[in-house]
Amino acid sequence: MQENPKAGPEVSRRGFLKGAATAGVSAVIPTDKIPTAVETKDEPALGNFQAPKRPLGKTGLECSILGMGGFHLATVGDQTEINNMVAKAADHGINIFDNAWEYLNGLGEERLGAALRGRRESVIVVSSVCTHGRKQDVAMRMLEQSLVRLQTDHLDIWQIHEVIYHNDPELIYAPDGVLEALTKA
Amino acid sequence: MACTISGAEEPRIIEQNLEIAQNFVPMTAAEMQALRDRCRQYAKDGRFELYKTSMKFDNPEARLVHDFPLDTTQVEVKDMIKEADNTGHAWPRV
Repeated sequence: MQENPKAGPEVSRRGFLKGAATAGVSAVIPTDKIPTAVETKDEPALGNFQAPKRPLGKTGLECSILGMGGFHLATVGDQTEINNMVAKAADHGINIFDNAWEYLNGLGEERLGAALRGRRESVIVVSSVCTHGRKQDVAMRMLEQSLVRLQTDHLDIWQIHEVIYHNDPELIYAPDGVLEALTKA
Repeated sequence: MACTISGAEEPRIIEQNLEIAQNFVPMTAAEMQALRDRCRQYAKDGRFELYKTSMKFDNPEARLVHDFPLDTTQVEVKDMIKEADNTGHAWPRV
């Protein structure tokens, strides 16, 4: 696993002093005792905030009330920056990461997959299939591509992307359609 | 509702979202109903959701896979093709 030098606790001198003052500590604090989420003047006072979790429908999964979308994340040019963003979210209890086969020609899933290295088992990975009426085999090929890009052997949730037209339901439920792929997977 | 998914194109947005989550106080059932009642007249006919069906926000590929007509002699369709930068080729040749 590639170590990310910025993914750990962000401790600035200003943040350290503020943290120490808050804790009523004036002596030297051993470095291994520094809180993991030290606030700085430029950041909101998140402290050790952990996003609450709720049951996700009937899935049996518990998701954080705030989840991270995969499209905008992948618009960030630098993978290291993306890793930092995912680390920050995960450190505050965000455990659900949404994506779609279609996002940025696959870059959405690729960037997230790389950023989730070492965290895969502790998060809910969601992706969406974009057959839009094409056949079951197209959906299955998209799924295989999603898994490769996301560097995982399974999705926690696989859903149908962009159900917006009046005839989408009939296309989805059509024989040999995408719903059969979802059932098969 | 279990979860709000939000995109973030810079770290500041994540911090902002986390701060909102931190200060989040769920509405009561009565408050939720009041909000539904207030929005109903504006939301019921989709007038603010043109992106879902309007040709202005459509693209040729989506129309073709949904068996919707794509008359390339129409001015609107020509504009859409130009806007979408998409000729309607089937997947994966999008």
